[in-house]
Amino acid sequence: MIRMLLGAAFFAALFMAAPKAATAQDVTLSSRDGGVEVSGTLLSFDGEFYRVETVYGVLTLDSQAVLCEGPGCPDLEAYVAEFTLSGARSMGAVLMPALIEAFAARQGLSARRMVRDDDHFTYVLGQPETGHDAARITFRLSTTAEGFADLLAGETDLVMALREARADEVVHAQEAGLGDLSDPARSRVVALDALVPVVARDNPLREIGAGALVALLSGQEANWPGRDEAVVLHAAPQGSGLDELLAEKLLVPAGAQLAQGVRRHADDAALADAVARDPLGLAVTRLSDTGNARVLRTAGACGMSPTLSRRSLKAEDYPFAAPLFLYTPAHHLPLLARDFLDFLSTPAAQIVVRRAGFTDQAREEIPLAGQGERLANAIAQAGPEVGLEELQRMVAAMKGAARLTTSFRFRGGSTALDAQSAGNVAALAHALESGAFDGREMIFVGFSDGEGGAAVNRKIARRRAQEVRAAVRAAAVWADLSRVTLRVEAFGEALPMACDDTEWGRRVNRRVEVWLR
Amino acid sequence: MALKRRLFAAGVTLVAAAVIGQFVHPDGGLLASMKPRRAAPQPVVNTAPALNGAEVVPLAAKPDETVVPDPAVQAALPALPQDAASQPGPAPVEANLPRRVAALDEGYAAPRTDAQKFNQYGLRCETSLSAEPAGAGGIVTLRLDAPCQPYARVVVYHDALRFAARSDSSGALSVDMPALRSEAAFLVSLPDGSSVSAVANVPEAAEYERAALQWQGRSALHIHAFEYGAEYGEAGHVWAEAPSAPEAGAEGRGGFLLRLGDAELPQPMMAEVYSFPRDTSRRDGTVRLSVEAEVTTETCAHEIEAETLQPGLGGGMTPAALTLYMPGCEAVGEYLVLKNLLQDMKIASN
Repeated sequence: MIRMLLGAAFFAALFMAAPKAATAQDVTLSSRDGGVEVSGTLLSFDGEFYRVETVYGVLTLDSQAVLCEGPGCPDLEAYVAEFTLSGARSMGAVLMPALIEAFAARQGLSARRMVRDDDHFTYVLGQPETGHDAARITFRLSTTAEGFADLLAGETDLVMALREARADEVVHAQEAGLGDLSDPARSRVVALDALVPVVARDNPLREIGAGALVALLSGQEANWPGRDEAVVLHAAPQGSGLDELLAEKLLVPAGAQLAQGVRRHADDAALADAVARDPLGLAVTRLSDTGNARVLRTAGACGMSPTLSRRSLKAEDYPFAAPLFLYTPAHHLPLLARDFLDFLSTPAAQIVVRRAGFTDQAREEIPLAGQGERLANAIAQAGPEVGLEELQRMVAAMKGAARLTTSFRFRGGSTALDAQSAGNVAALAHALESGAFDGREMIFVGFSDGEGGAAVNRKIARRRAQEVRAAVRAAAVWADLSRVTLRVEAFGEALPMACDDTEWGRRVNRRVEVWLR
Repeated sequence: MALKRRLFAAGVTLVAAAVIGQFVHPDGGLLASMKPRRAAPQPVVNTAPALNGAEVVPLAAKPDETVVPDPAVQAALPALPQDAASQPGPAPVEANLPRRVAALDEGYAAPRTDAQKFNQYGLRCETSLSAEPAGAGGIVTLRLDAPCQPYARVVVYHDALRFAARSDSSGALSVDMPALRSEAAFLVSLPDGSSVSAVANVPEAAEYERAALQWQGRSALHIHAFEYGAEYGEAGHVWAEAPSAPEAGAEGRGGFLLRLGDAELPQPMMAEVYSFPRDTSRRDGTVRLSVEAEVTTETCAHEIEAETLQPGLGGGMTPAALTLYMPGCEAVGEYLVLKNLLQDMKIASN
């Protein structure tokens, strides 16, 4: 409808300009800074791009990037940016709408939510002065998998995902000409979350070992530890993002699968509520919606318990992190959608993320005083391989330095950064460009797990730290690197964060930290 | 689920839904663009002839236009003010008159409008408003006294919250309503275009977490709060039919709900405010909030325009505009249940 009107306006304009068209040029497009100017005959306008016949040939120009002058110019005011978000309900219920509303307020746009039901609604953003609609943003809430299916079917622009795209989804998207979903540029982490075991408030258990948890979830163990009462397992709907995450993060690494006969619930909120009411109930859910249930601490076999806090999620020190992703299409999004994506990494968006009950990604500095537990771990784990001398070298390096919550971790066994870390490269590079660390010393500190010899581990850790530093340097194109010192240090297995007896524990330990002095 | 399926069909009829009242939004441009708005009739005060001294306004002389739901009369009702700044006031020429006359004549005293009128009981037509904290719950009692405007449809504004109520036979109105901030300002606009305001200092207001819903028209909307995992009909399920009381909140037992506005008025403006005590709560947990819209013969296949108010980034309550596409009329008697319009409250015990 709008496109037809635009088309009509354009043809009318063209018709009126027609007598002059042979000699004169009916549009002049200039870049917003006035630096570049192109004149020509407007061939088409699709609400987003001008195609202009010029002396240089046919040029396609983004209408949002240039100003149009001349009789051939279409009515930009009538252009409405339209895009769709589809996927995980737990991401689309509160978080993304809150971000859309905050973005609209920041842009000076009015926002109205047009609601069909909880899973189908559209935001209409409008220009308050003119009354024109600026955007229609449609939400379709279902599951992560259905979000990717919608992307393949061409029914959505953005996918809200609780997990990364699966290998088969990446293949299908490639076949459908949608580009490479596994490219880090195609996804961004919107907020941080984590998987946590939950029980009813009156359950006497406070802490559970990761191994014991997997045994209960898979049905190998039927009773609560130390009690002869059977555990009642609750779970999210089959095929939901939470269900997939549970398998991916906890069960599959341990070679297990969820027991038969678990009680499935309609959504994450219903799951938390059901566990809260069931004194024998146990479930794994997302930290952002534990409702009235109580979170169980998880413990490693060697006595190190991963701490669950805002900072430990930001630093990926908690092993069962579950960041929330937004997958973007390979095709060009309207300017307003691109602006929205840029907004997601601003400090203003981090506040919205926090208020929506999730963990934000704002960088924090943890002083040495806040790292007591790590040091205690280091001392407890010290032995013939990591001696007093090495510990003293490390403490000397830590002195006067603060640890950034920005950390880098790797995909299982490889040197490729995981999704959250890949985003951290860009974020850290951006901070360097903005001069946030000017005059300071930034140290990339490599650590390893405890498998293998200490000397070898230190070497591996150093190489990883060098690679991360190189990646950050390469991404910080506009940074003035003479204003900041970027160093590399490595301490191998000296500062463990988790037990090395499980794959997830070793993954937590293999890391590159960033210290600031 | 049957209801859910019908919702899609309802979407087709969304165009036919212009009947539900226009919502007056503080930054209203969007709405104005979405629906054709009737030309606002001039407020009565503007068209009235110039005042000549003391004037008696007999009650019987004026038809009670606020009560008779005659469509012709309804159309003549003055439009609601857009916001405090654009209150209908005297027309510019008239507004300048006293100043211009004063410039010519030093002894000129500007006419006091209301004070020089009397109602049939001989009471001065002076309108006043008071706002007093009323015990528990961060509640304020608003008392309006408008002797010359009995049975009047008045609109109460407080922060982003607003609702319409009716004064009684003597032009008085008393409403208990929650203060949304400690320094609470209230404004009441009257049908003659005038308005009165009052402020109250309500320190308790900061102790409550609130969520509100407001709408215009004859829609049956409700906030439902499920405290600490309470289920439908259990203790801890708070809504208009089981509103609990501010005293419960003050004692840390749970939240309470206030329904504001008079649904019997023509063009009703209703609001519901749910409050939960922030610091006196005895345990951690979650209050789940949902909005239910009853499908009635009046609302089916229509659009309902509403607003949610929730704590904003700046400390006050932030409004968010909504349009609900109501299911078709075959679903009359059912409810559209929306769990995500209001964010659940996370309660941290002290």
